[in-house]
Amino acid sequence: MANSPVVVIGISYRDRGANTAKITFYTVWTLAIADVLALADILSAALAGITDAALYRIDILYRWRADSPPAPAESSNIARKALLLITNDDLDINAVVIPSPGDIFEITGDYAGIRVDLLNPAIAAFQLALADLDYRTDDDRQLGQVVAAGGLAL
Amino acid sequence: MTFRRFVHDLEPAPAPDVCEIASFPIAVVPFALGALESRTPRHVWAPDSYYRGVQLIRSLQMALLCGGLKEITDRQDDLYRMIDTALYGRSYVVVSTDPELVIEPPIQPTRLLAIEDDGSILGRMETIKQLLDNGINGATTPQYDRANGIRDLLEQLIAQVDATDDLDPELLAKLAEIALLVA
Repeated sequence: MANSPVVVIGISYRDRGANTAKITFYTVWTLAIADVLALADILSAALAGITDAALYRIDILYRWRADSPPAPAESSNIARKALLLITNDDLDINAVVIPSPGDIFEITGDYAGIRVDLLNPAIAAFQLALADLDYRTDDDRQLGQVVAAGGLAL
Repeated sequence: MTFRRFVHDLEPAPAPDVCEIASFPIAVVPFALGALESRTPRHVWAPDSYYRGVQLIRSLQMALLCGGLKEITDRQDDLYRMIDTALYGRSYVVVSTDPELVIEPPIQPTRLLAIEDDGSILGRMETIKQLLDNGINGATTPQYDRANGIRDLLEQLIAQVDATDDLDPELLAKLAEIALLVA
């Protein structure tokens, strides 16, 4: 049951000392977002008489987990990361950190093995997906294109 | 016992931003990117500084990945070799291109005034100088060794005409005038 699709509703409270705590509820995967929001409102209203902490945030998460995920590639290692710098419609630079990058790095030149090859077919496909769909930054900007990317040693 | 200091409430210097060109070993790029990335969480920055602070971090990450300084210095080297070949006639050869471009001979800190090919600009000027020196003065040069120059031939001609005394005086005056011009 734990792996079944589910919607997670997180309702967060803050006390006078700026400490925070979250109450988590779950509901069915098939509910539309508006219905889940309404449910969260009802829950938080019901909790208002129980707690005197201040409601400050609601997180809604549609969660899916693979029941039988495929075996990871032999070379996979999420300690390795690649940083993709992506423009948005306000000409800011946003970043996506890719865990365990595959063979996407430049193979010749001074930046071989360090910089991601933006002409790599996988990067080009990712680029197309960004351009075609309405992916947003957390401040609601339309993502643009990958302008630079490289390996990340964290 | 591990002591970890959490960075928070950073505030970048106010705009406008003055830019600088820096030189760095490319091998440090992944580490620099990682170190900079650790400064991108929201809690690192003072509330009013988050947006600007992170954009400054992103701009430096981009600069590290885009490089460019080596391309500039490489183009300077290309320009030096072009001028060296054009002026002195020095030949440069591409020894390899992978993993990096290697061109021989390497560029030296100083350059001797030595012409390496007669087809170069200075080589052609030297050829013209020798031609004039030999042609006018009759001086023996590495490229030209004709025994008599124009000046010698004119002097011989004038002396011969003087001796025979039967040349038109006007023609003789013109010969003397040419001799003066090449003197």
